[in-house]
Amino acid sequence: MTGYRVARFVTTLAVCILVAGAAADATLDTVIAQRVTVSDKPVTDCVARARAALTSVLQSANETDPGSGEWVGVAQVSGSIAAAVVIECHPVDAGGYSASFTCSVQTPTYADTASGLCGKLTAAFNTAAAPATTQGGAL
Amino acid sequence: MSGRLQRFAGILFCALISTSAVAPASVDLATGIRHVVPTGTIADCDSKASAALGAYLQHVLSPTQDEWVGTGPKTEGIQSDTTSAGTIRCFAHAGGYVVTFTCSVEAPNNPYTATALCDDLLNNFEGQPQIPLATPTPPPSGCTTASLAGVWQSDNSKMTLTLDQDGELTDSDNVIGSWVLNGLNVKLTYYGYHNLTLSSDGKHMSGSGYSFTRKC
Repeated sequence: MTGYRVARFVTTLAVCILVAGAAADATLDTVIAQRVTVSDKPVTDCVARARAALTSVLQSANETDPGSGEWVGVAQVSGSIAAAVVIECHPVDAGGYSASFTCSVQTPTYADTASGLCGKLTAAFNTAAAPATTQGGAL
Repeated sequence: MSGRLQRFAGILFCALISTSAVAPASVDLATGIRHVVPTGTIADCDSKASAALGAYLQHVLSPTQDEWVGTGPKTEGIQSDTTSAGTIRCFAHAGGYVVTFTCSVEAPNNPYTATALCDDLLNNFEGQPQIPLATPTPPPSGCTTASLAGVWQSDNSKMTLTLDQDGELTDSDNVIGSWVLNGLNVKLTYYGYHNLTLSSDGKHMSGSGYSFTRKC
């Protein structure tokens, strides 16, 4: 019985050390995803898709300045921001727009990698149905 | 003690260790810098973007056309955890270009903010004076009551303990343990738990049958 208790204590201690050690070694993982270029839609389409993608993946979407076309989303873990992403919508001179993605996550606190998160955002952006009403987006 | 109570105590113990060992870090993001250059080429923008990132970060690369990313801190030959990153993007626009800056840092593990990094990247890009970024605070050294880091010699034997800044200790036989300092109260985890008291000059600690003097 005593041996069992010692084994359980050692196991608990090992798990604690692993948990504490893993969190203490947190590091910042940042990537930029492949730029999406659309030639036949206005930048307002990009803005709507950016907002929809951020809401879908992170449940968080805010434009840094009204009309800037720059949208930010964050994810919190235990009250701290563990992931932050930016989608930038820019009109293209030849027509259409480009959308750029930046993803930063704190590993291992956040469950996904920056690359994985940006991949989900890009996929959500590409499949998002643009709402009927859109806003902003000019340079 | 019942099984449930033991489990609860174990979970509580684990939570206390975890929360005391880990500072609640978070991602600090800076966006919104959008600089319009009326005349210039994208190649010029790319060149300046790469140089600006290289001045403050390392591993600068362009994974997609006209988009640049670098990570930091900028260290020379030292492998360290990544705690900062900056991206610069160039967009052709009406005979010139638009350049945007995004920065992220891990707070408080990084000594400067994301905004400070992005401001300096912009100033470097424009060839303007830059404000030096904050550097990490050097860890306390010598005999101090702020930390137990250092080499401790047993007063009763030849044993020495080396305590590091991260709360870990190693003895002369490479047996490891840990330490926590709260005021002058010392908790050593080393062949069990031991409560010791640190002297007011930070040079001695004793208790639980142990007595050590720090080499400083």
